[in-house]
Amino acid sequence: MSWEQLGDHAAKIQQSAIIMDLRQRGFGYDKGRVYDSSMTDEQVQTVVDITAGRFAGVAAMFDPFIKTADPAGFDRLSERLATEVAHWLNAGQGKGGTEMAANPDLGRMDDVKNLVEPWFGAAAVNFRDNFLSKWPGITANQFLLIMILKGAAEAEAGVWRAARASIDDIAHKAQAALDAMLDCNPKDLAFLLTVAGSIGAVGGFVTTGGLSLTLTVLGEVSASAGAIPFGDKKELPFSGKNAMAIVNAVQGAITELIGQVIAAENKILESLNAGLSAVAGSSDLFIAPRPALADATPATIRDETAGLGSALG
Amino acid sequence: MPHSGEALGVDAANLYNAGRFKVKVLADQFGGAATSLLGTQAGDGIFARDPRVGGSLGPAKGAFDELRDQVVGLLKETQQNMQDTGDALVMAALEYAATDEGSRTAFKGIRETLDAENHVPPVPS
Repeated sequence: MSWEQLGDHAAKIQQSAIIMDLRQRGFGYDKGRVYDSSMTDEQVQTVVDITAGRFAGVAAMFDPFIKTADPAGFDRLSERLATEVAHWLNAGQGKGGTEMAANPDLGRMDDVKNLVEPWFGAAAVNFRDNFLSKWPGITANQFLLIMILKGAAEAEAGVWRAARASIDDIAHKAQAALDAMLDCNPKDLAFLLTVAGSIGAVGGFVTTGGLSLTLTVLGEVSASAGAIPFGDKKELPFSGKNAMAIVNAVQGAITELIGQVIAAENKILESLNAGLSAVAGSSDLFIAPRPALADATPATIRDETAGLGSALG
Repeated sequence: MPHSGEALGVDAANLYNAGRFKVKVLADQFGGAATSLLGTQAGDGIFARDPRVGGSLGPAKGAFDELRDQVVGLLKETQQNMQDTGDALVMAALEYAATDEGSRTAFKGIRETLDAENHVPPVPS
């Protein structure tokens, strides 16, 4: 059984619930036909119809997970954010999640400091003090924002991978419980919901410049060494004594699973909102002022007060 | 004592190197990162799910888009500032190199070496 087959299995669970309920009440069942020697076919059909009505909504209980967000799509997004975006700003501080090569070209900005060192016009001083000196910290903070986005994508992948595994577990164990319902010792089973433990905070990221807010990069626990999960796997024991008890347990587990998904995604929302608040409240930590040099013209570039002035030394 | 002659030509070549092969290279990379980040919008369908599970796109989608747009803006602004600064450094190099014959000669030689090392055609004199 797998998530892709969930719709088929949901229909089978509904059918099994009807049949096992009838069999537990003493009806015979053979090759798709329900029978009872003390009743007419018409009377049996009436009972079958009533029973089918009692379990009519069972397959539909699984509908919220027939179509889910796409964990593989989030994996691709996370990978793209790492290799096509974050990599360019990674001076080597990236930790957790996808291993990512640092961009050695970032060191070129250190070279620039040396190359403009002899110049002391106002634009040169402004460039050194207001742009070059802030460059490493601001680049690191921009990198952190990208890693928050990447972490959100990775966490979404984790949430939905766990959600698919959990709904698959619910369907599998519900079917197993129904199949074993008439055994001498019907199984007492437990649904295993793994969404709450699937994502967590990935350590190792620090903002530069004294930001008052704490920014948290999230990740999928199974993919990020050192990630601290927000919750634990949860087992929901249930009794397999009759079809209605099993069905009710399925409904409870699915409701719980929906709650876990929403709670986990709200953690992702918190991480993203913290990034937004940081940019809104402390934009100077995420963007350097435009250097005066950027607006120099041939008429001003050699000026002592507006340009590079003279090279000294 | 302000530099002149060959020393000024070397200083100008350093400005050229800083502008063309340091600042503008990084500006291009930041621009590429911004474009790539913007390009991830195409994958927004991955958020879609049954609306009973947190809404049709989930609770995080809006904030994800907003933060992505903010970061695209930061990267683009950084790119533009660096691009213009790099251009200004190259312009300054050409201006200072034209000061006298000594500076012109020293600058020309170093610039040709830098262009060759970086496998790019030289800017017009």
